Amino acid sequence: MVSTLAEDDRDLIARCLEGERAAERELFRRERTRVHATLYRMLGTNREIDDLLQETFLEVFRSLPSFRGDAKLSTWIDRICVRVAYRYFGRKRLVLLESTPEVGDDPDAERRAQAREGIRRLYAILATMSPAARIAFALHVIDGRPIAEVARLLGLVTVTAKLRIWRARREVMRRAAEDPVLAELLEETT
Amino acid sequence: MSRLPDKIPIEPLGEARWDRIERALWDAPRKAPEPARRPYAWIAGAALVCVVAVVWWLLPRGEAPSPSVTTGSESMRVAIDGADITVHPDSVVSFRRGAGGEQLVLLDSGGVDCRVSKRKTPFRVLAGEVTVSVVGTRFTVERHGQVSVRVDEGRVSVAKGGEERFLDPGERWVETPPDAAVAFVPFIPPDAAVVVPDPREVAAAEARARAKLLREADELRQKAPAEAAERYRKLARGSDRLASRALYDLAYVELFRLRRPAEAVAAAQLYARRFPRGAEAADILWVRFEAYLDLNQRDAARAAATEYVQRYPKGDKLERALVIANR
Repeated sequence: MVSTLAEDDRDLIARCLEGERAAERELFRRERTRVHATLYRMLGTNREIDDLLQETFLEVFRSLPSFRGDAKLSTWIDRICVRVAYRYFGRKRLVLLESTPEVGDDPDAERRAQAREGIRRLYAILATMSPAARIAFALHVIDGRPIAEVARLLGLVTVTAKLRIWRARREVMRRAAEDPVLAELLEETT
Repeated sequence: MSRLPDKIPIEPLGEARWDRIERALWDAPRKAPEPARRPYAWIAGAALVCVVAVVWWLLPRGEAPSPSVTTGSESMRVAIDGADITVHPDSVVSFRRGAGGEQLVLLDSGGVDCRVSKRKTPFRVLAGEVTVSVVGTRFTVERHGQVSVRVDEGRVSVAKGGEERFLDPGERWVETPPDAAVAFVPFIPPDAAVVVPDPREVAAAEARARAKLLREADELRQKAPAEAAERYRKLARGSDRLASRALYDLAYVELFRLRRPAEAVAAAQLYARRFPRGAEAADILWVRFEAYLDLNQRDAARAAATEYVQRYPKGDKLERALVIANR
């Protein structure tokens, strides 16, 4: 098997496997922003993200001995991140929504608040979908990852990933047809 | 529509919050690495999976853990099953699926504003003995000692003690003492002066005090676990949803923060007696077998872990329970 690991990654992993806490902290600090961004785009809020970040990194450290180096370290961590989100959505039907702040007469503030409300409504729709559909949609449409990468992260063939995204997108568009605020958010990205 | 990454900015976490996560990460108990696989280990694994599947199939279905929300000084918005709910400040609410597939909102204290989209299965708010059912509407339920219901749009049914009444927009219903008949009162605009009877105020103050105590305990559990445990112990004396959560948190803090496994076992056993179908019933069993392990009571740990495997085959701690049960 050809290893795709960078020299730095290899060294860091070796140190983590030797139980060096400083190396674990280095790995955590290096990856935390990217992992947070991925989780945030799937959840749409920071409210309960602390537990998921903790769960992701615990699983990373616990599973490092089984990491074979046949993918980039970041890709492998992303897979764990997706698994953690999948489990979270599976056990949690309740989704906390960020409130839309009140705005005054400032047109920019009003536009930002409108966009924020659109985002809130988008995540409220995603909350009604299956974890599989929600994650596939979030990774591709919200996080901007190519379908092939989404398929790899979810352990699916590309056609299945594409189908899930298409179905989720169809549902979002159906709801947007009756919701001008959501439609505006989606329109600007066409 | 193609992609939205530029439209949805990531709200960064503050350094203090990252510090908390980092500290918790290195404080958390780590699972021991799995032993090297033996030849034919996969056969044993497959057999175990089959046994677990059969046991799961034969067992009566337990309730899924209920997500819950406890608010502080600010309200919180949640979405669940097509409903948009604003939970009032100082409220304790949990969410469950009913036997008929209907969405249940259990209001322990405080209030909720609900916007419910049209649906096939009903949406119900349970506040003590009062049940409010709707199929698509906007309404508010408050529970500060007495329960009150106000309807803004649509129509809702309010049932208590076998009696059911319907409320239309602008109508308000207030729970009366047990002996009195169900009564309707005119809708009172929010800015109108309202004379609140003393018992309600007392009950509301009690609810606020308990919610505040819970917030304090949650904040203290990292830095001052002994003080957090004291607060959880006080809260656990009640009989509401908050009490069951506090009792679970007490067991957790005793075991993982204060390293007092005997106290953790005592709290876990008390939980099992008082809240056998509580929302934390699965997790408390996990705390119990971990505490027995710390006490070196291996047989008791194995028995508790086996019970976990049988009762919660889809539980979060199944993997860990299987390891202990098969030691």
